[in-house]
Formats: sequence, C-alpha cells, structure tokens
Amino acid sequence: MNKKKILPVVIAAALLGVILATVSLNRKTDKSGNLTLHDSTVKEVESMVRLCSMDIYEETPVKATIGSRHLFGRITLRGSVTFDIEHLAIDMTGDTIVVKLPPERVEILESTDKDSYIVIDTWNDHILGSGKFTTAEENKIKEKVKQNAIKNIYRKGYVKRARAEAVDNLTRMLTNVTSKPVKVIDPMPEGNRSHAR
Amino acid sequence: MNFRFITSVLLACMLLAGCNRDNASLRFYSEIKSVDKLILARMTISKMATIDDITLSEAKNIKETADALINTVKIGDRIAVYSYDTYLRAYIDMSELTPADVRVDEDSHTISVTLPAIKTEFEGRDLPIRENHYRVTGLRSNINAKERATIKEQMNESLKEEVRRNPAFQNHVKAEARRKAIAYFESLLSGAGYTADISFKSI
Repeated sequence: MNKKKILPVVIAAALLGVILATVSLNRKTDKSGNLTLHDSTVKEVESMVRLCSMDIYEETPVKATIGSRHLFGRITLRGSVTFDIEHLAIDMTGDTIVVKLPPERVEILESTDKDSYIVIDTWNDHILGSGKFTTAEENKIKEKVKQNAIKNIYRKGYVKRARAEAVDNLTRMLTNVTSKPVKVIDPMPEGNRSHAR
Repeated sequence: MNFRFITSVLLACMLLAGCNRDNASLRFYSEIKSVDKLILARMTISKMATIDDITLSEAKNIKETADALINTVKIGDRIAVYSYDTYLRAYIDMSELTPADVRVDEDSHTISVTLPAIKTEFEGRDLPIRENHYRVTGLRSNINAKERATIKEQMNESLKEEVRRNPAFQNHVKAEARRKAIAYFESLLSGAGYTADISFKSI
C-alpha cells in the first residue's frame, strides 16, 4: 500500500529532476556558444583634409535603468576635435593670407583598446524578473553615453581650447607651406554645439 | 599586549586593503592630448561574427565533440549574427614639418614641400553593435549584454590582428592619403601662384 503511494511521488520527482536538468543544460552551456569570426571587409575609403587639434581618451561608467532593470559597465571612449580645411575660403590682404577657422567636428567613438567595453552587472529589482537588455536597448544606452560625453567636452572648455590650438596649428602650417604671412580668424571661439557627431 | 598589537595591525591592513580596492574600482582614466594632425583618409572596416551551436561534423577536437553532443539534446535554437564598423585613419603629423622641409624657387615659381611620413592609427569603433540576425527559441537563453560585450571584444581582437597581419589595409588607406595630400597642397599653392612639388619623408 505504501509502495503504491510513494511510486507516483518518486516518478514526479524524477520527472521534475529531468526537466530541471534539461533547462539547466540548455541555459548553462549556452554561455560557451560557438562563435565564428568572419573576415574583416573594407566597406569604404573616404579621403578628406581635416586638421585635428585634440585627441580625447576617456574611461567612463555606464549606468542605465529601464523600468526595474539596471545595467552597470565601463566604456573607454576615443574622441577628436577636427576641422574640415579642404575648402577653406582664402582671402588676400596685401601680402597676407587671411582664412576663417571652419566649424569644429566633435566625434566620439569606442576605443579599440582591449576591454574598452565591459558589462559588470545587470539586474532586476524584482526577484523573479529578468535583468536582460536587448541589443536595441543597449545601443540606446550607449547613444546617451556618447551624447553626455560630447556635452562634457563642450562644458569643460575642451572645444574652446581645441579651436585656439587649431588657429595656431593652421597659421603655422600655412605659413610654412606658402612662405607668406598668414592670419587665421576664429569667428566662433566657443565652438558650435550643433557640429557634434 | 603583543596579541592586541598584532590584531590592530591586521585590522588596519584589512581596512586599508578594502579602501584600496574600492578606490581602484572607482578610478576612471581620462586624457586630453593636444595634437597637430592632418587627417587625409579614413577606412571603414566592417567585422561580422556568428554565434551558433557547433555540430558534430564541425567538431575538431574532444571538447568540441562533447559540446556538439550536448547540443543535440538541447531544446530550441540559438543563432545570432552581429557586426559593427571600425575606423582606420591615415594622417601626417604636421608638428614634424620644419621650415627646412619647404624650398621656394622664386625664379621658376615652384615650391617643393617634403611632408612628414604618412602614419595610420585606429580612430575607434562604433559604440552600437548591429544585430543582423537573432533567433533564440525553445529553452535556450537569450544573448545578454555581458555576452555581447565579450563577443565584441573577440571581434575587435580578431580585426586588429587581421590589420596587423595584412599590410594591404594600411597600404590602401595610406595610398589614398598620399593622393589627397598631393592634390590638396598643389591646389593650395596654385592659388598662391606657385607650382607645387610634393614629396613625403619615409618613416
């Protein structure tokens, strides 16, 4: 009689064990998925004439919250402040070459140094909630990090400094190459935030 | 007395070690560098990776065979394709240009300029990653942010190694930069009424 009562419990427990083992096997071994790295391909080669007066290297925390989900990580950014001098408007005043410094381009990218983007933790406030972020959500988080970095570059006065240095660099380059006196005018010493990329 | 002293020293060491660990984890490096670079060309290099289950026919060693066997009992599929772009730029460091590198011949109205050598560097890579394909079904786990970051890192290392191993990448972007520099300085000097003779220093 006892055996008859115990048997269904044992079968149910064994079944539950098999289900849990299958789920666990599916989930745990997924972490070591087979990664195939395809050959790199050249998408585009673009020519330009841009004067770069400042390189920026910055490690910054990535903190984000979407609903009850949170992400914490670290990202290394590489930025530069450049000036498109390909089509400079050149005026001559007597023997002096007069040029206007064009608007700056502030570009922010992720560094290619080792471990430039690491996700330290993702979690959910709810005990049974998932702490997973989709690619689209993560890309939005990174876009915010990029925009914040650009805002900081302006706020900290780096653009002002980059423009002042670009005036010196452009004056020296044009003087050296043309052997004529050169005057570079900066119409926007503080920069223009709308030229950030 | 001795016991008290040793305990205090050990406690202080533990506290200090704890403080150091906290400080290190909160430290973020930042650097602003003034440069004088003339960027002349930029190459966009695309890298793609596929995450998929290994099959028995693809397995090359015991570990892979074991993984492939485990995969046969898994319920569902887990396939994704990711890609992103990296930028390699070619530039000349104008701070290396000296007055001795420019020779003016007023008789023939010719200016000879020996520009600094063309160099290349990785400008950086896109922050976002493109998800070209994503199919996770059954009991398989979704690909999370940590895993994507690891995948991107592996793609990055592989791309840098390819560029290091294959000089065609650098030669291509350098050739474009050389062509652009010659065209630019010829145009600049012709505007000032001179014929330009542009050459480059070797590294």
